[in-house]
Amino acid sequence: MYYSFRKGIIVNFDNVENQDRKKDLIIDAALKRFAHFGLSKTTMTEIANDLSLSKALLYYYFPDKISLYSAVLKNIIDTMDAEMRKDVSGATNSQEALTKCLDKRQEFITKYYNLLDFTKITGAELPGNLMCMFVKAKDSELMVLKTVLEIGISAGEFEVDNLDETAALLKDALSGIYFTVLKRHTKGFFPEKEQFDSILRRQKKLGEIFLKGLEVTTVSTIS
Amino acid sequence: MIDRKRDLIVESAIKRFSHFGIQKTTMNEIADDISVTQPSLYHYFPDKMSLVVAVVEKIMAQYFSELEGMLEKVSLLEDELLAILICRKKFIGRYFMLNLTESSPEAGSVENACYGVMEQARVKEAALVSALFSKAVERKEIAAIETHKMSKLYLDTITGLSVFELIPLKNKFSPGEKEFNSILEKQKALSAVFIAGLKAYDVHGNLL
Repeated sequence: MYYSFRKGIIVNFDNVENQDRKKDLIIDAALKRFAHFGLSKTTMTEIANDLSLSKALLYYYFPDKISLYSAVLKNIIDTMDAEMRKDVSGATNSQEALTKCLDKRQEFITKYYNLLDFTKITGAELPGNLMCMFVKAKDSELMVLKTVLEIGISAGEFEVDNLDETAALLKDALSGIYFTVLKRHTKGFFPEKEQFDSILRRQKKLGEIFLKGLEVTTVSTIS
Repeated sequence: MIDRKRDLIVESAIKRFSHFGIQKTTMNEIADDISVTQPSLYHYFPDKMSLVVAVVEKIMAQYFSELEGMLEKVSLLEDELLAILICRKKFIGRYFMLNLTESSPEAGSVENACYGVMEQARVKEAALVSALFSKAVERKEIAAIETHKMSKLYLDTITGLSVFELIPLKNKFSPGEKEFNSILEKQKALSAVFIAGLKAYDVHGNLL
């Protein structure tokens, strides 16, 4: 496994003109490492070696592992956000839009699950720049769910008194399912594919009921 | 047959645990509180973990008995689910110091030891909600849904809603009325939409 990382990714930095491009290359290489080994079992030395880059230069771009890791997360969140928006914008009703959104999210979470091992080394206190990424992920999800609701509104399915509150409730309800299922079934190591499938099925059902419920009721004010 | 002494130990342990938490309570203190000798205490509970399991069992039994009392007074699905939410809030508040998610060296083993009891409680609660859904189907309050699956989905959803309020408080001192109320408000809002959504299916379980 180790060898495959070293093959193929030989980058001549002299030919790369702007710094952003260099950063992108580092992020790409780091993403491969983190996605396989997670945060705790990846070292900056390995990432530098993958790129045939000196450690000094790597540290010039990213002063520590957490800042590189945050950049990788940002990259993934942006990609997911863009793809989700594209998928959702093609939907004609809220149920379809939500299904597309959940499918896309699932695809990313399954793909990058190993990357999310940060809690094991950082505990409850997340470093500031890492925390930002979670706020970013949350905001991105909220915005997409708002779009889902707006699709339903313009399709005449329902009216929503308070879009922000309703989207926030839907978001928490959907992500809560993750938490309860994983907490119950994960003993130590990785969750299995079946668990992710079961989460997705239940999220879809919950989303379906929620959107149907909006047709006859409205989310009351949450203080 | 009820063993008086065993019961006394469990009662005393509940008081200690719910005030000081599991980690900060010693077997000595529990024995002292009720003037039981240590050998006698260890005869009933060979280690702290077995006592913790007995305590959790007892609390769960209390929860269900109080809940059943509350459910007798209401008859609409919405009120019944509200009773569950209120009862949950009461118990989580009352026994928060016992919470199994605290990050202490003991947390993992406590969680493992209590897994069976907690799982039983979850199954029982799901069966209870499932029965409530079935009655609501009979009364035509909601559509003919798969009550068993729906009850689990409902319970997992409202449990999940509490997670986000409590995560930022991890490792902090116990949350207060404010957090618990905000959880309850969210759960109430979700329940209303959920019940409304359950009216939208036909007898074959397809969306109308």
